Amino acid sequence: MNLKGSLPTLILEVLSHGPSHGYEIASGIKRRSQGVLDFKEGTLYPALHTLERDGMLTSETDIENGRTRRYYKLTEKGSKTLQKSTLEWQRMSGAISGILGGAV
Amino acid sequence: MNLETWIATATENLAPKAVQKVREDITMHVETAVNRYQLERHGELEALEMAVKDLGDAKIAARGFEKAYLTKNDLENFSYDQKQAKDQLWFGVILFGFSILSLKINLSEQISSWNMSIFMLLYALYCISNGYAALRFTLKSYIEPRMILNFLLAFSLIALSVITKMSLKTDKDTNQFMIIIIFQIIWRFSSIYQDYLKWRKMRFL
Repeated sequence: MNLKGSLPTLILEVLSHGPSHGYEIASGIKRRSQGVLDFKEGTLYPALHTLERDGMLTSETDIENGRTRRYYKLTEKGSKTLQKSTLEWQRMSGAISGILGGAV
Repeated sequence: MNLETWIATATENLAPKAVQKVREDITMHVETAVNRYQLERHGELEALEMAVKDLGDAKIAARGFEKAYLTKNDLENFSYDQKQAKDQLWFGVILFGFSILSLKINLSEQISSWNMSIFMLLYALYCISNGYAALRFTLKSYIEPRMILNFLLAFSLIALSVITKMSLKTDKDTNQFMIIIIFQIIWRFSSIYQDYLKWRKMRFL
């Protein structure tokens, strides 16, 4: 399924449960959508870096099992944006469901 | 496509500092993915191929990274030596000041009474955006050899702000002037917006 436009919100949602690194974020989205939201992992990083640039996330590197990892963490601004986007999405999906449900 | 080629393609147009960060993230990601595939009993080479394939099209990623980071092209247009520019910034500030001064002289009555017509408001925006453009030309004179040309352009913009207002005599003149300055304001403010985007990217690095 095409994730265009909703990937940043999904990233923010995954990070709302705690700091995480890129691979874990990608796996989290795929796992929680039961494979429906499949995307190429290379597109995750431009979205992550844009969110970081816009102050929605911060990042820091850490060493785990001898490997360097960059952990991304949600900021206050990111948290507010997530709340707003979630509400907008719920409103939108409710409206579409209403129309499609009525057509059946 | 191997990992090095993927990274090189995805970061082809990015500024050097951005390349470093993208390289680190992608390398860490692929290392983790290879490790997971190996746990599923895939061979090392096969695991690496699968991990790179999972990244998808490097050109699509490149377009995304170019929106987040400064590109080589941005740097060429914006990479005046910051220290040198800072030392000489006073000149640009004086030009900007002249622009504001011309605004103050021409609009002193309207400004004091806060009773500005649309024309006066446009004229104010025109002066401010001309001042900004003059500042840009001043800074630009440090990154390219056409120093005199850029200074002349900067001066001409300020002179334009003053002369245009002084030369207006009739309502007809004013109407023509308004059409011209609306286009100029849109043009100048679009360059201010572009500069803002670049500044945001530069601050990120």
